[in-house]
Amino acid sequence: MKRLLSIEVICASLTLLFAYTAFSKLADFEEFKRQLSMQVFPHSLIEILLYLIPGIELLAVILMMVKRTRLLGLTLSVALMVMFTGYVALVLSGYYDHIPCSCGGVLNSLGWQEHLWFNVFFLVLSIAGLRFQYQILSGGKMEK
Amino acid sequence: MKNLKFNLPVIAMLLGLGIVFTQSAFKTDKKLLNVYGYNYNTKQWIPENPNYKCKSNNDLVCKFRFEGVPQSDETPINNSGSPMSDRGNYLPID
Repeated sequence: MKRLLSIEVICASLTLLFAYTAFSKLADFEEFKRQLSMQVFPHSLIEILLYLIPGIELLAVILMMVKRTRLLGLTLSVALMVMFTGYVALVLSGYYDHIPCSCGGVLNSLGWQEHLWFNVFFLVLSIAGLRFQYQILSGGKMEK
Repeated sequence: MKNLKFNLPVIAMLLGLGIVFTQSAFKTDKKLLNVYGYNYNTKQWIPENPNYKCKSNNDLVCKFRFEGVPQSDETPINNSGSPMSDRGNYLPID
C-alpha cells in the first residue's frame, strides 16, 4: 500500500512539473520560441523542438494520469529528465562554445547550477517511480 | 488511505494548469531578455543570463538593450542597441 501511495505522489509531482512547463510554453509560445533561439541548437532543430518538447511533456502527463499507462509515462519521464539533465551538464562542463541563456528552463530565474540540481532531483524521482511501478506490475516479485 | 479513490496526477495536472494561468511570479521580466552582454574575448553577443557578470573595467560598456537579436556584425562601438550602465567585460561566473 505504501508503494501504491508512493507511486501516486511521484506521478503527481512529475505531472505537476510537466503540466506546468508544457502549459507555460504553450501559453506564451512566442516567448518560448525566443528562449529556445537563445540556446545552442541549430535553427532547423529549434523549429522541431518548438513543438516536440511541449508535445512530449503533455504526452508524459496524459500517460501518467492513466493508471494503465503509467509505466510508459514514467519511462518517458526518465528519458526526458535524462535529456534535460544531460543538456544542462554539457552546458556547465563547457562543452559548447558559450554558455547560453538559462532563461528557458522550468523556472526562468534559476541559473544553470540550480537547474542541474533541480533536474537531478526529478530524474531520481522518475527513476524511483519507474522502479516502484515495475514492482507493482510484476506483483512485487522484483528483487530490491 | 487504503482506498485511494482520487487520482492525484489528475489533480496535479489541473494545479499545473491553474498555476500557469493565475500567476506570473516565476516569469522573468521580458525586458531582461532584450539585454545582451558583449564578451570582448570571444567577440560574442550573449543573452542576459543570471550566471554572467561584467568583469570590472571602467572603459568598456558590456551590456546593451536591443529591440531584437543583435546581428553578428554588430560591435559594442557600432550597434543598434542602447548602451547600459554596466561596464567591464562580460564573463561567465560559476
